Amino acid sequence: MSEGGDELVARLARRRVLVVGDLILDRYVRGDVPRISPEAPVPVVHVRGEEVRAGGAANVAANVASLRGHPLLVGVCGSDAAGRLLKEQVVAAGVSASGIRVDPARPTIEKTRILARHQQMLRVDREEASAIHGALEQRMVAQLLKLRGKVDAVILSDYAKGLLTRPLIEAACALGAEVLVDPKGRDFERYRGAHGITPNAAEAEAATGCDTSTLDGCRAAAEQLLKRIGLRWVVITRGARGIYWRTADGAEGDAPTRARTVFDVTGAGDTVIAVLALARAAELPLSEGVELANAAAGLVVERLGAASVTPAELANALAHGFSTASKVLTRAGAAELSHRYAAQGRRVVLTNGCFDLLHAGHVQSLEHARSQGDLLFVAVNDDASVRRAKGAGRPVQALAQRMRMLAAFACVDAVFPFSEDTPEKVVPAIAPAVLVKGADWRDKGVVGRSFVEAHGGVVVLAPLVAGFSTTGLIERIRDGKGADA
Amino acid sequence: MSPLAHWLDKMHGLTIGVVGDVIADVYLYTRPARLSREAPVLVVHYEREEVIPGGAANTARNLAAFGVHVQMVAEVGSDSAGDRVIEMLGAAGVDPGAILRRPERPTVTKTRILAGDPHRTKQQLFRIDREPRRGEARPREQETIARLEVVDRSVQAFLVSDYDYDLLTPAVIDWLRRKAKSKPVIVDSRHRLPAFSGVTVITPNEEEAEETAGLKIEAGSDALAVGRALLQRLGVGAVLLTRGKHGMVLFAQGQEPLEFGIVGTGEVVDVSGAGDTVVAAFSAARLAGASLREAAWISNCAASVVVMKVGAATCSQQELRDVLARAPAPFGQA
Repeated sequence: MSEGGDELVARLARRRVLVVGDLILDRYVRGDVPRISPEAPVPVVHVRGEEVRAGGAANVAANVASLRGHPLLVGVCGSDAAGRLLKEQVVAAGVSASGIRVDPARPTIEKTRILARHQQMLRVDREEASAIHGALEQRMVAQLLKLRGKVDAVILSDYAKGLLTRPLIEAACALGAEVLVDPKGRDFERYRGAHGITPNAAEAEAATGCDTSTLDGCRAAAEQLLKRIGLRWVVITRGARGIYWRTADGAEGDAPTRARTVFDVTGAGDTVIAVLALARAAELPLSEGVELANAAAGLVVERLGAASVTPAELANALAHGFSTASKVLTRAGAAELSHRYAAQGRRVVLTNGCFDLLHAGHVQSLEHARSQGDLLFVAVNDDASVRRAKGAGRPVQALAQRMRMLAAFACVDAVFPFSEDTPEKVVPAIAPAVLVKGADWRDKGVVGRSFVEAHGGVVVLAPLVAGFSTTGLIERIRDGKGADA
Repeated sequence: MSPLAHWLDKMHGLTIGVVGDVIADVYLYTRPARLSREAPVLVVHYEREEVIPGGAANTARNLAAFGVHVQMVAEVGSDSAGDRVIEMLGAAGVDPGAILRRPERPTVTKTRILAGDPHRTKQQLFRIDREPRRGEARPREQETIARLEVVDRSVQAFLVSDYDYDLLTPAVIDWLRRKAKSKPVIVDSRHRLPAFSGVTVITPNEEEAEETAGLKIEAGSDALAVGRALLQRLGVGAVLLTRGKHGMVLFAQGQEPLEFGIVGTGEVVDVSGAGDTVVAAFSAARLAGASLREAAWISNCAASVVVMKVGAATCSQQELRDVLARAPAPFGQA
C-alpha cells in the first residue's frame, strides 16, 4: 500500500455517502420458559428483556458514520412504534433520520427473534415486500435528484423489500457519483447504470450459475456480470475465503480474510460496502478500497459484537495486523455480545476477578473456565474495587493494563470492567450459560447463582491451584526472594 | 320470557367499580415462511394482530355488555398495548378515564403467536408474557386508594379482579375489606383468596379453591367440603365455586349448598375469560336485586354463552335473555 494506514483511513473522513435502501428494525426478545401454557400445549416465554437495533440500509449508514464519513440515509418506515424506534436507533448511531420517509401504507420492517434459555426459538418477520406506491416513488425520485453533485458516492442497499424500484435506481445513477450496489435476488439486470456491485458468493452464484467456491468460478462470475450489466467493477465477498475483486479492464485481486477467527458474519457485508464507498468517494483505486474493506470486515466478524469499526481501529488493524486489544470491551458491549452469542446457541462462560499480577494459577483457572463452554468472558474489578478488597497499594497494575494482559490469552474471548464489590449486577447483564468461581466460594455462597440457575445455566466451582497468588508474588518481590527460596 | 329476565332490565341503572389487574391479551396471527439462516428455527410472517382487554378489563367489558355503568380503578403502562386496551375499553362502553398510565412499567401482556397457512385453522406456537418484575416499579397505592375513595362516591358495589400483579397491595386490600362492611365487595382472585377474608362474595374456580382450602376436588362431595371450608374459614357472605364442565356450586352462610349443572350442549370452544363473565353477571344480577341463587343461575347462563366463543368474550343482554328463556332455573320463584 502506497500510504500508511493512518493517512489512508483519514482520507475516508467527511466523504458524503448517500445510502438508499430497505430499513429494518432488528428486535431481540429475551426470556425464560418456566411453564407450559394452561390454554394450549405450548411453551410460555416470560420476557426478561428486549433490545432493538437498526438494520439493513440503516446499518450501512451507521458504518459510514463510524468511520467519520457523512452518511445521508434515504429510506422508508411505517407510521408506527417500530418506525419511531428505528429512527431513534439511527440517530443514536450518529446518522440523521431526516431522509427517512414515513409511509403510513406499510409497516416498518421488523425481524423479531424470540430467545429463551440461550437459544433462539422463533423469528417473527413483519414486512410488506411490495414495491412502494407510485406517488411515494415520485417524491423519492425527486428527493434523490436534488442531491445531484452533493454526494461523493451512492450505496444501494437492497434487501428486496420494495424500496429500490427501477426509477429510484435510475435516479441514484444520475447523481454524478459512483454507485455501489449490495444486491439481492437473481436479477442483477435491474441495477444497470450502477458502477460496482458487491454480492456475496451465494448471491453471485445464484445470479450467474458459476461455482463461486473457487477463484476461477468467482472470476467467471465477475466477468459475466461485468459484461452483462455494463459494470466497472465487481467485488465478491466470500466469507472465510476473503474477498475477490475484478474491474472491467481486467485487473483483479484476491484478499484473504484477515480475521483470525470468524465469530459472526452478520453485518460484514454492510461494513464492506460502506468502506468501499468511502474509499471510492476518496478516489482510491479499487484494490486499496478492497484492502480497507477487508480489514474492516475482519474486525467486524472477529471482534466481538461490534457492527461497525472506528478509524483508529481500522488504522491500527492496517498498521499492526489484528490486535487482541479488540477483545477489551465495555460492560454494555460485553452484555450485547453475550446476548448475541446466546442467540446463536453458544454457551458463554463468565468468570471474574482482579487479575493483578498474572501467574500460572490464573492461566490454569482461565483455561479450565473456557473448557466449560464455547466462549469465555472475564469481568475484571476496576482499581477502586480492587483497593477495597485487597487494601492500599493494590492493584499494582491499573485496570487498562490488567484487561490488556487478559485479552492476549487465547482462551479469553472478551474482557470488561466492573466497579462493584461483587458481580451481583454483572451476572444478570451477561446472563451466562456457565458461571465459574473458585472452589473456595463453595461455603461463602456464589453471588449470582440463583440468577444463573433460574435461567437454565449452571455454576461451576473450579478446582483451586495451590501455591499461586498475586499477594504471594508481591511479598516475594518485596522480600527479595527468588523462585527457589 | 324467563321470570328472571326482569333483573336484566334493572342492570341498566347500576354503577359498579371494577378494581384490579388489567391484562392485554394479544393474538398475533402469522403464516410459516421458512427456516431461518441464523439458527435452525422457524421464520413466520406477521399477518395481523388483535388486542383484547383481559383480566380486570375483561370483567369490566362484561359488565358493560349487560348495560352496567363501570368505573375502573386500574393501571396500564405508557405503551402501545396500554393505548389499545384503553381504546377498546372505550369502544366497549367502559369509562377508561380513571385508568392510571404508568410509564415506569409495561402493560401486562400475554401474546399468543398463532401460525398457519391462509384459510387453515391457525395453531398456537408460543405464548409470550410480559409482566412487571417484582420490585421493578413501586406500587402507587396511595394514588390507588385516593381513586377508590373518589369512585366510592358513585358506585353501588366493588368488583375486584385480582391477578396478583402490583395493583392490589395489602393496603389496598385492607381498604376493600373495610369497605365490605358498608357496600358489597365481590372478589375474583388468583392465588391469594385468604387475603380477602370478610368480603361479601368470592367466586373461585376449583384450582383456586383447592389451593386455599388445602383439599383436592376429585368428586362432587369434595367440592362441597372445599366450598364449606372456604365459607367458614374466610368468613365471607357467599362462595360461588365454578367447576368448569361440572357447573357451579353456591355456598351461602346458613344455607345448604346449591349445585347447578352447565347449560347447553357442553360443546365448549374456549373457557378463557369465562370466570370474568361469571363474576360480572353475578354481581350485576345481585346488585339489580336478584337473590343469591338467582344471580348464580344468571351467571351460569352467561358463562354458557361465552364458552362458545373464541377468546375472552362477552355476553350481551339479548344473548343472556335467550339462554334464560331456554333454560328455566332449577328452583322455584323466591
